[in-house]
Amino acid sequence: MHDAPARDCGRADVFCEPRKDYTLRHNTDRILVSHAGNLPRPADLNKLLAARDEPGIRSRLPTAVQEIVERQMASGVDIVNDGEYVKAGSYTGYMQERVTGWEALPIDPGVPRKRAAVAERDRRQFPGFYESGLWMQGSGGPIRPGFFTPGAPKPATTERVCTGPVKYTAQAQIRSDLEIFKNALQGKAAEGFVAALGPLSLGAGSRNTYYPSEEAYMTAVAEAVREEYRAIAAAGFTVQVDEPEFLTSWMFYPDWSIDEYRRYLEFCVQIINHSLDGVPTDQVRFHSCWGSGHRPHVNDIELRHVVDLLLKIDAQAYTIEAGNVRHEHEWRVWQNVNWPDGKILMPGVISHATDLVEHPDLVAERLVNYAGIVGKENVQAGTDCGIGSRVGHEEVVWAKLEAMAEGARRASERLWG
Amino acid sequence: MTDRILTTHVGTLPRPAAFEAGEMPLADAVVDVVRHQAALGIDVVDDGEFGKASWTGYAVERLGGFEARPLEAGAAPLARGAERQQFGEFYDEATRSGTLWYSTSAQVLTPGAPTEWVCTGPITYTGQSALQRDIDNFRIALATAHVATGFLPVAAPASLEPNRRNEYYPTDEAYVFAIAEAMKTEYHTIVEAGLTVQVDDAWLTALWDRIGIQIGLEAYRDYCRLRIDALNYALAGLPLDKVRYHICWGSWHGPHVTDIPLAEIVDLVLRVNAGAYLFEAGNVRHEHEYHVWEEAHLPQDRVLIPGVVSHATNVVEHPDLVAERITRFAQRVGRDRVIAGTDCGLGGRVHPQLAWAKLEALVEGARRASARLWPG
Repeated sequence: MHDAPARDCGRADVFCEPRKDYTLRHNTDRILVSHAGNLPRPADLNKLLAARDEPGIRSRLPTAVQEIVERQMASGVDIVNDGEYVKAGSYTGYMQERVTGWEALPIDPGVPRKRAAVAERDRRQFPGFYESGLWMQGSGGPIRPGFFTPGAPKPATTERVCTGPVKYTAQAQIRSDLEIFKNALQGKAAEGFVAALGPLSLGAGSRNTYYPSEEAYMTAVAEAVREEYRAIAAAGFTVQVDEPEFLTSWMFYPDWSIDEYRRYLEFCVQIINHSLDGVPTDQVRFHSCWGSGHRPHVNDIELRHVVDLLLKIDAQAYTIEAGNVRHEHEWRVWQNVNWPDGKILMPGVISHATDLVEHPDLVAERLVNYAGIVGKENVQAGTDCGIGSRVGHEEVVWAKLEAMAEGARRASERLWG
Repeated sequence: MTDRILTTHVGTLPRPAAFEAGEMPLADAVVDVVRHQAALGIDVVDDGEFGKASWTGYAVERLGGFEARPLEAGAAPLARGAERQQFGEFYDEATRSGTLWYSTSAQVLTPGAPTEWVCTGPITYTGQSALQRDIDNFRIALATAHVATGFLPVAAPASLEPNRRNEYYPTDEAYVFAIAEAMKTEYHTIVEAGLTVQVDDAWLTALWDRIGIQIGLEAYRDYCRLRIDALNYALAGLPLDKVRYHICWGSWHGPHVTDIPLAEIVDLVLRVNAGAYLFEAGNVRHEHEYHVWEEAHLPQDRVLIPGVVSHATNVVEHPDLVAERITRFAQRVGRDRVIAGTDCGLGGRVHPQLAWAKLEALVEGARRASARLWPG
């Protein structure tokens, strides 16, 4: 760790302070531990959120974020976040509120849909399973109360359509988010990351009627989210770009061939990199996953088909699912990849896909496998996806994070001796 | 001797909707499920356990000497355990919302509450006609589907004992051996019918969390040893290759952090006079335990049937992962001594479409492992 010179983040209207000591850190004598984002919220905060009690939420957030930082550290997490408390709602919803340019319009049956629904390829193969609604259940049982509405989802009657200039409007909000997190980290040894939605996941699903082309539209989306990324980086944190659609779009276009999908991803890489323009690469962690629904996933695009494109994204670290039974075997894919110098790989070594808690020896074995390929300095322990709301109970979340930290400790012992 | 990895599973399979609704005769449902398994490429099939209410519950109807009594409040010590204390809120919520299993049907649950079965007289086997019905249905189904043979699951004495209090026999030992003596009829009848018997003993392992942690490892191992001796008594005289023995750590969707490590009991498991051992190895709590077979001595005449697909997640195992799991075992005990299996029965534990998709992944994974293990 060292002091970096003060730098200008390039914008006067975002939270901008001299950058301190943050660049993404490599492991020096052990494997560092982080996770993909959301964490359980305290019951009283949930109540305030449900009641939309804005003053109550504002006064509770700082202490809640402080508590979640401390809880992560106590569980052995090195690179912590604010639990995504400031984005309560959904991982896409908060950004939709922060960027304007879309309207919810009644669906016009005369206009073809831009793309198919979530998990469409699986849906065609497992119609009964999808009709049951169980795909948003926990790891095994029926729908968990409050988690998702049982039964087949109702067909949508409105769609989001881009009808005006896409603009980032949340300068004050992000400033407040970052201040709260910064205060919570004050005097603590942990490093911080802040997750922010990727441009595809924000805009690619909506029809554009305003910009002259899809490219112009997505470029505008990239420039909007970029403001948030720059603010996060300027505050000295790692920006985690959450971009599940890099992998899940395969489902949205169920009739595409792999070549067609790769052509689309070339475009996506351009858009994502445009959104990262002006954000120091050594502060960027890119997260993608195959969708966190508890569903078969048998039609997920295989990593080997897209890994070269993934690495074209201007990030220092990549974090993807590797801790569930559909993607666990893909650690071998990295054997065929020329690992770029200094990049960090953060595979999911614990997962939301089961309520069973990973054995630390399994976690260690997974990490050692990766270390053997990309180097022990370059592998960090992560989760498949945000784990807070996706397993049966918060008790399971904490047990899993502790298992991950213990597994990283065991792996470190083996790797550093 | 074969030139590839064979496939099987642990027992329960999804029941056809019409059968569940009482609109399809049992015999037809069994034909249906045997055909389905054969069509998928499962080598060693069963009757889906369609003839049984649940994996241990069925025995209530097949054993004399027990009477049902209302359960006294707080008198079910086995409903509690170390993990239920550690993860109290999780278990409360999962119990309340019914999410511990995919289905709360009797197929996967051990019945009992609020009734308790108490042994009040000599234990006898009275299930001959129910057993014969199951055997006949299965044999007809095998012939219809042109499958040579298969297995029928039964419960082990140690798994019939919990929740069935003894007031008649003077000692635990006498009680357990009496259960074994009665169940012996069932085990032998199945083998005499030309089928393989699979003895399910999930309680033996799961009891570590409920009573073992309190009494300590040595006392728990003594407890297990006595029950296994009783089982061996019941199995005496049966050819090894007609007997499979299944343990698991309980199939509910919970954390399982207090599961006893396989290494602590593997010698006891191998003490059972069976030709094949089935155990969980396809979930995140037990996957790493394939290393146990670097140390444990598997006698030459025995084979392993590890779980390489699991009920523990809705995500369907990738065939390459299945192949990798099989290969790990093959590298340790030899390719001729590994059969690909499931962690536990899939019926009632995941959605039917997922159960079948997992068995398909199992077959494809075994094919890929075979290609690697028998090159050229």
